[in-house]
Amino acid sequence: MTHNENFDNIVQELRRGVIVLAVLTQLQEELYGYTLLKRLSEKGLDVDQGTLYPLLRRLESQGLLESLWRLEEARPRRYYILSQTGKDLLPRLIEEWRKINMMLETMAA
Amino acid sequence: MKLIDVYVAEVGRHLPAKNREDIEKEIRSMIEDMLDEQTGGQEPSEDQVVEVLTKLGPPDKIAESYQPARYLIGPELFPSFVTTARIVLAVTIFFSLLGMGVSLGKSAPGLDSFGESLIEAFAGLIQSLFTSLGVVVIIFGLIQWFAPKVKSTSTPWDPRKMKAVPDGDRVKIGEAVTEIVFSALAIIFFNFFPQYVGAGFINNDGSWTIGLVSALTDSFFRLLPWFTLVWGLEILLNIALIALGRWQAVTHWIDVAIKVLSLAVAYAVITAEPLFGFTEQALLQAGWPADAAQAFAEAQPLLYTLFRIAVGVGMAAGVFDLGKKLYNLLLKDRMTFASIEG
Repeated sequence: MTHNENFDNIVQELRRGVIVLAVLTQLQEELYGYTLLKRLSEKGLDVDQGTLYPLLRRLESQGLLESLWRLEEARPRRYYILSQTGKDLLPRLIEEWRKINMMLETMAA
Repeated sequence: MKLIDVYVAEVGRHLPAKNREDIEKEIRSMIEDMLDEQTGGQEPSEDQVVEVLTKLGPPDKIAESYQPARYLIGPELFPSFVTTARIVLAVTIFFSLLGMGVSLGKSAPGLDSFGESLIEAFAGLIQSLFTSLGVVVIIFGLIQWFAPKVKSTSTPWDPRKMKAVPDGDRVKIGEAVTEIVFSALAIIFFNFFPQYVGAGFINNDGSWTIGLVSALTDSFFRLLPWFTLVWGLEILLNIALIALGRWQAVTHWIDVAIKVLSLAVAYAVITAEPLFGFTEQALLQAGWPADAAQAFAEAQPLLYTLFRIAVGVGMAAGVFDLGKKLYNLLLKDRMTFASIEG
């Protein structure tokens, strides 16, 4: 395995670790899958469909999200939003993220 | 749009029925959104559809991402599966080879017949291996299916419950193999060729007067199934020990059970009617000279008493051995454990 491959793998793992938190922060308002994907990408986190859609379903089955099918322009779209549990959990997760971030900043300094 | 229908149906084919419809609907919606972005809301061309589907990747991959990893035998059960499969396969190979030896021994003389029997026996071995492995896989598959969280729900791990592996607990492969070989030979010999246990008679000029006179009595054949059971259990235990590499509580207790059974069988040997011997008449019929036959028959009770004494001494040694083993299992281990706790 080359240095570059190692670098890419580790970066990919790091990003994978923050996807859940990133998704939860964006779903404080109602969004459907594709808009969420675009929004994450605009903010610098590229996630592919094959990762995002199953993740949304998993978070829903864990009770962190709620979903609703809506008919828009004669096309059904599934909208996701934080559930009450998700809303309660998000500030704690953000706090935890800040701690991790600070810890690593200290370590890397 | 036809390509999209095929794609969505193909994804659905790889999904469990429970969520299929819902996921299909979601994937279709996702594809339409991607196309919308590309065409600006216009009807997409086939090339554009192809481009979007290519970006999404093969249907089975998409379907896979919607499902948790599925196992026939999961990583938690896999080590036990490997150990069990090893033991079962070793036992199967052993018994198949045993059967092979017996059937070859019984095959008609001649190279053709021998070759035929060899091929048949080999085919039988392969079949038994697949069958026994299949059974193990099915059993573990069922455990995985019905009790997927077998290990995670068990009591929390406690480092103090670990036991050091003293050298005494390591299996001595040489000893184990020797026991297997001798037990197997005993099973084969006494079950299939008992007529060769007997006495011959050699004339003064060195020629045989007549073949062997079988010495084993009905009393022996009544006990033979018990001997075979003890030898068979010894073989199984030793195969298991080789596969596991070290003695564990369960194998120690199985060994105790086999030792108790052996002592019971030895007691039966002492108290039963003589297991071997010749009547004077049988010797005469076999062509022995009258004086030799009479002398031999008269000496037998004394010889048999000596044999009984030898078995008795063996039993005493066995009882001592068993006592030592039980002491180690019940008292010594507890003391070691208590000292660790203290």
